Amino acid sequence: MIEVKRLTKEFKIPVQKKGQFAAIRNLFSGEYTVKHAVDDISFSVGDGEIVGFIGKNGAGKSTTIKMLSGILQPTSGSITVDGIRPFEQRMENAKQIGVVFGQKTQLWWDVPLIESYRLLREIYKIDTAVYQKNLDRYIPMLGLEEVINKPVRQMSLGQRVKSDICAALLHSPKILFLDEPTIGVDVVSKKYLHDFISEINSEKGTTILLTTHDMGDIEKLCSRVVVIDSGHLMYDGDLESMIARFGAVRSLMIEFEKPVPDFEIENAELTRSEGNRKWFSFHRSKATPLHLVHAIDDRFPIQDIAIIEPDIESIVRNLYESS
Amino acid sequence: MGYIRLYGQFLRVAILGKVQYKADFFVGIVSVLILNAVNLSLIGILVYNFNTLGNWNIWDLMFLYSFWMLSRGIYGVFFWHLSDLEEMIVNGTFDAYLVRPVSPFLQFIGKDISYTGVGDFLVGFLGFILAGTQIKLQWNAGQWIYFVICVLSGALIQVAINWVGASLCFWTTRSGAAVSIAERFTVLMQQYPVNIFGRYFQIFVTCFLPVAFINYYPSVVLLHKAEGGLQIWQYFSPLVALLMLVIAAFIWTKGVGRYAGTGN
Repeated sequence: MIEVKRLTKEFKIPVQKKGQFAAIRNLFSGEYTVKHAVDDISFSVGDGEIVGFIGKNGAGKSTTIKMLSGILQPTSGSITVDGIRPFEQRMENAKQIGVVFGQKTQLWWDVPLIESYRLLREIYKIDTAVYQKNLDRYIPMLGLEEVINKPVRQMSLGQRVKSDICAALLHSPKILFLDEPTIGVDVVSKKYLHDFISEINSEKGTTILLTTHDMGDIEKLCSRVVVIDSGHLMYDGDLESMIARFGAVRSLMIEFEKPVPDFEIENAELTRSEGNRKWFSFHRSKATPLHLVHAIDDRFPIQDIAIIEPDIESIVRNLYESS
Repeated sequence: MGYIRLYGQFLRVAILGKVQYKADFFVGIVSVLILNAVNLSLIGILVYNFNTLGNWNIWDLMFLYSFWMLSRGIYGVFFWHLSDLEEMIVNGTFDAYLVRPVSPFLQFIGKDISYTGVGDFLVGFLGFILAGTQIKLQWNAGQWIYFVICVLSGALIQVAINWVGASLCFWTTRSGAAVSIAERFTVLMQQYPVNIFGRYFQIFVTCFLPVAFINYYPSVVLLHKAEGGLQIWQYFSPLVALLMLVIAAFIWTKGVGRYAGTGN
């Protein structure tokens, strides 16, 4: 569905001078440095996949989305989205994609939500039956019944993002790009969004590409992740093998019946000690929680235990550090 | 044809949006009326103090000013928000226009409507009636048609100037200063007949920033004010408008291309 080959995007950043009359000299200065926002990235996305793009701020995620949606022109490399080159054939591409930027709405701010949708029906020339069918399906799924006659400016952020996602799907696009769709969204709305996105994907086979900082999004939605850092592709593969490779270290929390001194144990490392509780980290391949609990219980009576799986943040951190 | 229909749909939403703010709407209408009362009295002062300027008497001057107000009103209602482009580029909302299968310019132009232009148009209309009766205009059908075409051309010249000004921010991000200088210059000079100024100034407002074609040359033609006979190019307001729109559209297109290159 999406083919990206050796994609690069350079930005020219003017050199800011310092000293006397810096502002005026900057105005006439032709000097700049070249920043590679996206540097030689290749990947492909299959029909009906949900792929999560993760990386720090400024890693190049949004720039990639903007190139895939035709907003930005690649400096070099090639992109095809269902056989269409997004920048050269921007209008063609626009018909088959839906785009949501979590940070800014694309809806008409001052009019009731339904008016934005009516206008979008005209813009995309959506068949009336299709439009009505999509609306009847998506509004209850997203819980938008009570805001459909409200202007966007009066909505909460969660309602607004849900409205934006609904808007992006009215013309039944084959591909949906979501740029940080859950940023700042409350837990309840987030759950709505997760359920909705999975459902659209499985029901309509919509290919979905989303960028996020929220590892909950990735765990709930994506079987495949692409990790980008400073414009480079760091990892591209399924979530499980990423966890197996970079999330092999788990933790075990043990609560003892009474305070015990620090002690050492084979194949695990004591990482934290607090009151009656101690935390041990251990490698997946070297120890099992059961074996550790047995070994510890022989020495000190245990009251309670908890196994802490690595969260994706720490996995990504490991991934960054390992390169 | 499809685009005109779509533009209508955009305007419908823009008007709906305006009406949502009821208080603002009424305050807006009242302030437009006050503003134009002030404008009208300014014309009054103008008329009282200058009995004639060159070969223009007070009613000719009023005709000139009203002509400008009519065209400015039309421009204002539909295109006043051209200057919003700067803000849209800075905060990235312009991106939304590039992911929809319709011309970005249509979406941008259709996003808003301004009722201050209505006030300008009304002042222009009243002034025109007043000046017209005093001058005792006796136009034939051809002159009336030419008048209407020139008012529209005048509006389009102002659209083109502000369109170019707005498009500059694709390169500079901020273009507010340049646009407001051009705007103030236009406002200042539209109130006077161009022939009272020096020769270089006349060349400048005819050839380089052709604001003299908004109201001055059409008035020269329609009020027979040409000294030493009419020149053919003094009829050219519609052509100038067309040419300037082509240039503006070209710069805009280049600008959108550049935006895609730099992203801002």
